[in-house]
Amino acid sequence: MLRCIRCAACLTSCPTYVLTQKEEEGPRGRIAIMRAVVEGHLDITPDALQHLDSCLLCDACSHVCPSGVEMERLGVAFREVASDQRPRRPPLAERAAMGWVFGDLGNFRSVAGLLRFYQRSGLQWLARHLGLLGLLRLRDMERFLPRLPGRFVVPRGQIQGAGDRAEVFAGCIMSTAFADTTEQTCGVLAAFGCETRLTQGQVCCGALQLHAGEAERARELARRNIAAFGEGSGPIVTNAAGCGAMLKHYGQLLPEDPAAATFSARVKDVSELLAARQPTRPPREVKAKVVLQDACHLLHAQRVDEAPRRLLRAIPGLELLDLPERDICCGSAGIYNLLHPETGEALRARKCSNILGTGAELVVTGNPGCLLQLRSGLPEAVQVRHIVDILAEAYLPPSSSA
Amino acid sequence: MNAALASELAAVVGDAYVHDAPSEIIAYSYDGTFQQHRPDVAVSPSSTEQVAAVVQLAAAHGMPIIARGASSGLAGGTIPETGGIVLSLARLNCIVEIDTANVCVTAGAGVVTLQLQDAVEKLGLFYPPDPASSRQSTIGGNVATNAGGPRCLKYGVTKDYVIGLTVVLASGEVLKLGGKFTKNATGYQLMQLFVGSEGTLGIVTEVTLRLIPLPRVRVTATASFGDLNQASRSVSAIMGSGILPATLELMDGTTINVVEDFLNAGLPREAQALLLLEQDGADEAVARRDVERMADICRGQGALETRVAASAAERNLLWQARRAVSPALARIRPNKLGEDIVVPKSEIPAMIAAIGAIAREHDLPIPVFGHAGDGNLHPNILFDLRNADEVQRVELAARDIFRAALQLGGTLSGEHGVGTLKREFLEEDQGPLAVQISRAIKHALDPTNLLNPGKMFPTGRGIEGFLANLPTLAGVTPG
Repeated sequence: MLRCIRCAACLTSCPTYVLTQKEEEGPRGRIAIMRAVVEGHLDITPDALQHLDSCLLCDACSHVCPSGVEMERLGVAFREVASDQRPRRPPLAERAAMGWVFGDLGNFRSVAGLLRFYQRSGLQWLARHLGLLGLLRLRDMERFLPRLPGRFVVPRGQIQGAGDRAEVFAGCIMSTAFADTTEQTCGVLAAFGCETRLTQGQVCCGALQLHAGEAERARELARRNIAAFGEGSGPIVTNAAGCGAMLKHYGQLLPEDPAAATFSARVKDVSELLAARQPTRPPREVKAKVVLQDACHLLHAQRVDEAPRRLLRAIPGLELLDLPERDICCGSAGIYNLLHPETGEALRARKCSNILGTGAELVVTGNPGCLLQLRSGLPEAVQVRHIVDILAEAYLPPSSSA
Repeated sequence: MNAALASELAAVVGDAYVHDAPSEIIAYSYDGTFQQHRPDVAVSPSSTEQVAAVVQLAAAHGMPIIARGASSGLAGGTIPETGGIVLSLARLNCIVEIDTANVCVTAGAGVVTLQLQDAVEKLGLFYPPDPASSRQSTIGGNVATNAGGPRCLKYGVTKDYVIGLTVVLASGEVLKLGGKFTKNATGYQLMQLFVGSEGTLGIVTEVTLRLIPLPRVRVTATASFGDLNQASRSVSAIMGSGILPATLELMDGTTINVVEDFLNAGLPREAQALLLLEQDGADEAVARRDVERMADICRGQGALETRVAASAAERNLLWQARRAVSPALARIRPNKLGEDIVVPKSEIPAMIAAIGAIAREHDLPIPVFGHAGDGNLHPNILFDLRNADEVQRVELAARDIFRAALQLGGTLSGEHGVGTLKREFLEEDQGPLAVQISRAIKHALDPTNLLNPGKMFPTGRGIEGFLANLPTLAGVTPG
């Protein structure tokens, strides 16, 4: 925090500053507010919480900060400190329920299974038409829910392909709502000469808990993941930018545990690992004008920039276009769009208008949040797909492509 | 703050743009230095009319008004050191018109410099002034400080491009000056009076800038040296050789290393100095020949290596590195006092030697970088504000740097302005007569001292403790 010398280089990178032009809604203002609190010049007032909570934790500011401020780390630390002082802290029962759901992938799958039943049994139709969702204040959350696939990925140590070992981190959303993509991830890795393993005992990465100020819960999840992947030494691959950023930060989250830093050093985004394995010309072309939606947690938090571009450029027929304001968040930011719908929607509209301006037919991204956010904002003519699904189309035989 | 004023301000700019909650007042309390003082309230109007209405309210309530753009300034010019109303111009961020026939652009004061440059460059036009903060600074702020930058060596500073201004005066009246023409011998050049006036004479809300054609090619090279003096002698030799480079930037060994820590731009960490040389123009062969001649001169002075950037990407990385120098220095010590002295080109080697001696005498790290080609250097004194003894030594070092520059026939500030940081030294630089005339002008335009009071003019407290007397949230700085 002392590193911020208030040069303002972050202002034009910050989505909420760009929308409002307000200093208190920009990184420099937020850091000044946090510092004033820490140094005893300001109480944690409701307005202070409001301006700090409106941060997307997208880390675009850290990416451009010449003096090396790490905003996500600061924001998360502040949320942990401030969580006791919130006037409307979520009730204990709700927090316990969240702990149960995310604490175990089995529990998470059970809930996802119930939601799938809800979507397919006609209950969804009924709930929407009866206005129940509005009553339960669930309308926004329900709208963003993807149609859940028939089966989920259950990591039980399954092995696919042959070659260098790569352990796959399946994640909660990616193993359920995007189970097909996670299956394809194993397939594409195998096509790039890897032996993939869906390591048993893994749990949710803990990013949502950490961003909500529940750092202790996040640490517990981190310890369980470190234990689950503890025996291996090869790369741990994730296909969700948000998970990847979190997993790479375990070393910071558990500074006293040397295994945490070792774990973090092994984590690779799927695009990073594949690009490093030198993509060959794939057997099939993907004819489309494409823009890449850089997930903030890939571009800013993990500084992965060229890897996905290299993979896409290697695909014949695919024309990769430049996206203006590519470094500005789409407004998804984990569950930010549910907590701050107005800002989330303004950023989505800005992103979609930039995308439509390019004339792209296909938007490719590497994060489930961006996928859902953009699908809900773009016309049907513009597809939004995970980069792994595009790679699967190019590299895998059609039968195994979903 | 009184509730009546808050509601009157809200009636002008809307509730959402009156910033008066405890945390919001903190957010409008600082600039790009270490100083900090809460205003009573901040407002962000979105038009000249709203600015004029806010000024009228301020006058009616007897509240000082401190205008700011991005508040990235390095002289304390936008610190509300006695409270009052901070007026942010950030929402006046529309480019009104790019007029290709008259080769000029008209923009709101809050337009970010780089965004204006990108917009005109798409049409083959060029706005050269390029403060290192161009990514965040605003055109209004550039006008208020007469901002410079590396390219100003060849192309001139902000004042050389301003051809039209809309200014809100302390009376709340709106004054329009100039227009879409570049020659003007009609009466006093009032427009130039507002350029560099740091918000003390009026509030600039809209600017018309002349443009020039975008140079077709740009050739960039670096020259590294094992000795800082060799680099400074090379600068003098180049400037005396009949070449006018587009830029001629200097970085010393400390700045090279600190920026490498941030960017990994491939700068030579072992070097004690680096020159960043650039020539631009319509003809690649001519630009390349100039750069090669400059490289020859550097080798003649003992350069370790000279290297021409092979691609646009390499060139951009070099410039990204140069722009990051000032903020990246925070990686070494928590605070810095970034000076901005100018000396005649031929005195660059003497000035650099003087800075080295001052650093040793006061036992402080003072890395140097800057626009060596036009004699404008940024010695940055690095320190920790919480250390009273260090603060005292910083004051002495700053004083000695100013005096060395003045003795060499230079001045206090090339592009940052005076603000609070250099005001106690104004008379030493300009002499009492010039300061007296400046006070008379200030009084004529702002008789009640409403606009950015206290800035730029000596406080009368004298030089001793000039740094320790500046405001921070903890009160005055220890010392």
